[in-house]
Amino acid sequence: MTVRDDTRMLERLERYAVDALSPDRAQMSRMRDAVVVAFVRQPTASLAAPRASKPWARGWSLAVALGLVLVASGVAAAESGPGQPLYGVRLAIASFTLPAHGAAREHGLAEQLDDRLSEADAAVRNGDGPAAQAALQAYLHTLTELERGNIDRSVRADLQHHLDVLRALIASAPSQATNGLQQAIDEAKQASHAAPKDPASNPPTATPRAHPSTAPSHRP
Amino acid sequence: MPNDEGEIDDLVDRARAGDQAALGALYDRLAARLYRFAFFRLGNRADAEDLTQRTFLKMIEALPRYQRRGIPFEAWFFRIARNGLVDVLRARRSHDPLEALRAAPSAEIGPEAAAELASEFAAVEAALSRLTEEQQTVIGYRFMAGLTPREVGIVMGKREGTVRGLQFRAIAALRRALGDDSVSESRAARKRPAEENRP
Repeated sequence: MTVRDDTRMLERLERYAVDALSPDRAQMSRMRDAVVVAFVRQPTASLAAPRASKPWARGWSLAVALGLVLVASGVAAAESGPGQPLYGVRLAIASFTLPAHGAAREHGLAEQLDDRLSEADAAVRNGDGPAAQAALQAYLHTLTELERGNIDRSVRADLQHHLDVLRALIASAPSQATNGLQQAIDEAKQASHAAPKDPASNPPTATPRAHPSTAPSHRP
Repeated sequence: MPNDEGEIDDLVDRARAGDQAALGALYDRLAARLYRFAFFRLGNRADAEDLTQRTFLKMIEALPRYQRRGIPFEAWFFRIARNGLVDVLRARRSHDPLEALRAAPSAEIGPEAAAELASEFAAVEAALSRLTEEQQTVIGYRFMAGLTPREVGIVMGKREGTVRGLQFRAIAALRRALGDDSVSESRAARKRPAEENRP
């Protein structure tokens, strides 16, 4: 078989296709009218290509979806008390919102300590040992964080108040919470007597920090 | 055959934006080619017209979902046509795509030329009808629809090399069936001078 043979055969096929199989003008016109009418009736918006088909767009979609999940989880976690499944998530979110360093961070941690103590107080009053234990574990964790920094005078005063509350709680606490309470008392005592690490870099605040409205009710 | 992918992609983008002229240009590029392929495979003009029209309507519906990703638009378009063709053939159940096909030569030529052409077309049709189903399909896409071997491969779900092989065997079968004796003519031509030089 030669190229010339093939060319001749292909020419015969192409001639057959064009001369024998092509639509006539009336057919072309009919079909064209139908297609154009269908096209005009189609809303322009529905013809546009779907968006978010590029990798970066998909990445953004994923990030937005993840963000929504996190927000939803955050909303759910915000309602979670000690001993509930999302309590840890709630604490983690609270930690993320703290300043990275400095006196502002210390004061933020002190406020969190107040919150944990309030939760422990409520759990003890309700006779909920596991919840009290969870709140006290969180209290100890936050206190450890606080001790890594510089505990100023106002925070030390807060810790003295916490000691009073914790000692009052231990008398009525469920048995599951007594160990945690004792640990919290020991740690709070140690932290409240700790000397400032670098007073020059962290001068005492002029005004004492206000106690949260949810302060423990078991004041001595 | 027009095969400028960049130009077609531009028309597709404009058509998506609602440009009627761009759709018209796409129609002008594709309609006659699809019709020829449909007529070849279905064997009558009414069905070919119907398939062509329906394919364009489906194309308009599917335009928003078209994504290039290495698939030429024409291959994508003819895949829509192929699906429609399969539906028609399935509805017919038994068919012989070339059985009903009796292409008529253009009426614009004289009676002698028309008779000659009719004879030629009848011979080509008879030869095409002896090809296998796959060979007929490849010939249809290549010469009636004007697709490249790569595009035919995409439409049929076969490798380009397989398409070329099918085309090669189909052309060889057609040459044999049509008595295309150019090879024997060549042999005769090689012998002829020697005979002519005989005293």
